[in-house]
Amino acid sequence: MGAIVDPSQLPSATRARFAVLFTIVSLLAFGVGEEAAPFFNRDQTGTNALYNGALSMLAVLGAGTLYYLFHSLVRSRSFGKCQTLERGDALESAILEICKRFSLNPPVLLVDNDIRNYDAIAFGFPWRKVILMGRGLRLLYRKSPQEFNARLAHELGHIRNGDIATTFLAEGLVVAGLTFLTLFYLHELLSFVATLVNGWHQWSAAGDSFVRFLADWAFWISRAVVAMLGNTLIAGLWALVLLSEHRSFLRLREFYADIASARAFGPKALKETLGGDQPNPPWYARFLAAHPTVQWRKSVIDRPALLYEPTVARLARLGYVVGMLIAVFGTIHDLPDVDARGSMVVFLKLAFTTIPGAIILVILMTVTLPPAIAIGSLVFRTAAWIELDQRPFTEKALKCLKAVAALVATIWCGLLINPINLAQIIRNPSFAVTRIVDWRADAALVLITALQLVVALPLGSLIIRRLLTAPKETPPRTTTWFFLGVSFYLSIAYIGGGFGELLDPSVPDWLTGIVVLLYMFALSSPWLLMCYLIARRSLKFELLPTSCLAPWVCYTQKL
Amino acid sequence: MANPADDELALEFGRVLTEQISPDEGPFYDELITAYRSPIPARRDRTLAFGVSPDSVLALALLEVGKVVLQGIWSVLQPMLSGLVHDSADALRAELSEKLKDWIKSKFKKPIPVTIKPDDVQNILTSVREAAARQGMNESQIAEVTKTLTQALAS
Repeated sequence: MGAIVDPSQLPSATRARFAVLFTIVSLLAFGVGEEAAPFFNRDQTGTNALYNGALSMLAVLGAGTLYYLFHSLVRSRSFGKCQTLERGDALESAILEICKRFSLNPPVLLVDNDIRNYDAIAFGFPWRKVILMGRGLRLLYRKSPQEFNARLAHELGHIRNGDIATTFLAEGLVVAGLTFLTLFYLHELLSFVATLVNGWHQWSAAGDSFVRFLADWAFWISRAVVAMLGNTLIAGLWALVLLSEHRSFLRLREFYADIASARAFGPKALKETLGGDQPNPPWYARFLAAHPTVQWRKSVIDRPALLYEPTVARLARLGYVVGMLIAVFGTIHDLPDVDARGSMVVFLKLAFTTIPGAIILVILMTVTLPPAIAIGSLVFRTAAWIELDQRPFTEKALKCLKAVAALVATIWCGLLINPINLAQIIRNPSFAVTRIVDWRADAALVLITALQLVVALPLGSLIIRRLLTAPKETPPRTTTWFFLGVSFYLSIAYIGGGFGELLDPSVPDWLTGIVVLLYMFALSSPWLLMCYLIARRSLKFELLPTSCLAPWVCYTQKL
Repeated sequence: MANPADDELALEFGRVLTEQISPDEGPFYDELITAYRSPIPARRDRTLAFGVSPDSVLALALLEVGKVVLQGIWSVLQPMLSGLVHDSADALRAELSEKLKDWIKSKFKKPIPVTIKPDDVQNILTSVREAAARQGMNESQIAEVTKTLTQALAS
């Protein structure tokens, strides 16, 4: 019998989900910055629009990082006044014991003064992690040490799972993104009001009536109002996408921390401290909640494989982001002298001949990598779910199909109805006509992507499942790895259009072609790396039907 | 229970009950009562917190139980007090308060300073059970409270 493995020890979706959030914030800053450009160049066309977008993105990412660097100051005051736990305190000894179990360095321990507060929060930096506890935990420690351990193991689970850095950096990015969005919206609103007031001042100076002013400006006002309504819709859509992903990301952290706690002290103590089932809050409260409902937490504690399930909601969110990303790539056509045919090559030439072009290339590469990582992570987790979930295979296959259908539908949805397209339609209504005319091209693109996903996702999952369960005597052959890597690389390259460009006889030089290939390789490299890491494990999962500690613990068998 | 002396008596009664029924809460009794008497801050859904807090603090429920028991005792004594002139009634009431305080502080080990008929004891215990249920105590806790008070009132 080998080492004990539990789902919390498997690669979590933390980094992949953080990466997707990073992409959304980057796209928001890029898309809004391209259109509004309130801080940079006022020229909103062609290359300038791209520069504006790129600079806005850097500004938002910088602001998010600053928020993260200062989050500790705010978090330490979350419960009001607090003090460092004295050395030798009984609580400290109990926490140090849990740290030993998790092989963690002890964090800084703070405690507040409110006896009613049984909560605790984790925050800090990789070099200074902090647990802030409510004074009520002191009482809980006396009344029910097991419940105290379960709660603290949950918090230390956050630290062990690496949640602190990703969560607060993500929060910083979301706050910066939403602030930027609000500034953009206010800027547009104030510009509208200022123009109206200036116009009226000039009009009244000439002695004309307000009614005549309104009649004369009616067309401008109606267009401005439509634009404002459009901007409201855009801001709302961005906020919806961002909050949906962010809150879901936070809830996922809680599940992993619960699993870490249940793994350390058993599910009973954790379920007891979660208390009895509570009435289901309304949908909007569930949507915005940072914690899942108690019932949901308990069901995941009982069946952690649920975390790996490719649900419709999870894939729909990812699909929409991928669709938006493709739409952003469409803005490359805004570059001067770039036509639809040779866009990638001409863009890359610009990227290697101008500094701003290079910056834009780096940014685009940065935002395209996360979805690639997320899809790779999704394939892995689907494989783990197929292996761990005890439901019939047909039921699991049906769930996979539903999820893939949701992924495909939302890629299309993200491609067609996204804030970037809406902004373009507001700026130039004829763009809507172009989009409608181009729907067949979009449909073809989505269909090709869908076919790739329908084949690639289950196939990839099955291949990885095979690799996970393969006996050591017959490990995957080099050709298998080569085939896996090359097939994924080719599909990415195909989606990106790199090969299309290379095969085009009008391509002027091979250097650009090689750069395209390297770019595509960079896209596929996280997936290849993940495949290697999975293979190195060579694990055989065995669900243990009953166990005094946790019924879902898996054992690995040395093969 | 508007009288400050009665409040103090109820507080002491709650403390002794807490020490006997939920001894872990004993050292925190005063802190708990003060904290729960102040407005409860809105619960916030904080990032990377545990997210759920237990609401079951027995000390508060036991304070309420103490109030109910004292009310029961005073209502038993009321006919005796009403037959006296005002000053004498106040003096007797103060004296009884002191004796009850002694009885409470002895953790009900001293005999109860007043005689309560078995029917009145039953009435008080019925009121206690109702109050305890209203405070959210479970069946076993109510049974424990009833047992403790039966012994205390019968002593």
